[in-house]
Amino acid sequence: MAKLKRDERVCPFCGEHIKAVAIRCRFCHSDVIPLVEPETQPAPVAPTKTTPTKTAPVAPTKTAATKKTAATKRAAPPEPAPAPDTGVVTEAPTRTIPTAAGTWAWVQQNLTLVLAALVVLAAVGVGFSWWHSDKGSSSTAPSGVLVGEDARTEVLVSAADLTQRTLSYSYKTLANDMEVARARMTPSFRKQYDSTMAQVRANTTKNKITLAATAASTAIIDATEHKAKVLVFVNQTTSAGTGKKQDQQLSRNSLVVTLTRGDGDWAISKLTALG
Amino acid sequence: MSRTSLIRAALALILAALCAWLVLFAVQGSEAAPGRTQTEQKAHEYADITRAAKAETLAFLAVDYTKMDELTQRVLSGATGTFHTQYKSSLKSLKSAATSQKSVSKGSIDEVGLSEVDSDSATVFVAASSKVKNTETKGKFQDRSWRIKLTMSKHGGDWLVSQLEFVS
Repeated sequence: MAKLKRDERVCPFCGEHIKAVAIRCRFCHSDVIPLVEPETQPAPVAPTKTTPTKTAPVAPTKTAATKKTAATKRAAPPEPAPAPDTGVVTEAPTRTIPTAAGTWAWVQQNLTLVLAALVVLAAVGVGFSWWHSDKGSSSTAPSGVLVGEDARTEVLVSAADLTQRTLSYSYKTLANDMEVARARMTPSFRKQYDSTMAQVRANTTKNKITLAATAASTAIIDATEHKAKVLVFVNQTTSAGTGKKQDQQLSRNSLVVTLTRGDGDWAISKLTALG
Repeated sequence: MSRTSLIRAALALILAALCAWLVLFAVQGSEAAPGRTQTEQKAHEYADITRAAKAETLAFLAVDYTKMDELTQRVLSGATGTFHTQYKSSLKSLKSAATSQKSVSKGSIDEVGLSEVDSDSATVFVAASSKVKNTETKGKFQDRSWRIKLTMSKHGGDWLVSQLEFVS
């Protein structure tokens, strides 16, 4: 390892040799506190050679100053001296404070810049999402309303299918019919369905009952990506008995069927009869 | 004024403008953006269709034998095509039936759903109910419920009903 030159020092972060006047390590890019003044700038009126590390901390000025002015003013005496080239008031040697605090001070001095960057970033984000929604690739409006034609058709088809599954069963294939219906229900609705079916099960087998539901029409009341309320006009035929003794009844109902979906298929989560 | 402070003033101005715009977005959502996107347009269309369907169904279900002219006129103003023709031709019998039976009916909308929606036509289903009173009900209100299919089309900026059917 080369010997430390007179104008060099060791970077406290990476241990490499860097210029003593450097304010940033050229190896690890950490901000460091310079130990001596640039040699090209002899200290003007300072009576003794200023050792910034020993200097009593001066009340930090609110004045924002660029690094350049800070560097040129570092050797100035603590008393505020008129700045020769800019309207900026002379800065006290704030470089003596530790690095973490130094970064904070930098942030404070450049608050406008930091905020500007943040706001511009946010604006870019908003602009992008606006542009993205404008492309029509999305199937939902910004308000959440599902507008994609295919997506809405899928809702209508699922609503018809799931309603029919839920409201159709035969005493002959009851266990299987229930399994088919239960496959596409939310857990809470499945619970309701199970308790209802538990009540009708005995009667269904005893009286040889078959329920056949047909969705005459389906229409979307409102729908988002994950939840849809669908108006279903359903015609339900109930037959009891077999052969000549069979008894049939048709009922026409209006239902509001609520569907929900995570990532995959729509599942039925609520079924309410109107009127 | 130095260059630095000039830049800062300009930055501050831009920031203030951007902030105001962002706040507008936060409050109004996408409405703050100029114009309407395709998806927003559709969502608005859905709301328009639903509103028109409700209004026309209510007009259709409203009966009062003392002011049939006014009520039927309201139905006609929201109708077009086949429905308009049919309704107009049945006006006379409608009026006489209402008068002779002293019919009063007031409808209400349970739900309105949209089926197929194009840019200028739509199929709408309405679950509605009405309270009906006439000589047959012996002056008492009875509840009726209806399953109605409306075929709607857009004329100018308005959605009108071109066909009204009951779903069997």
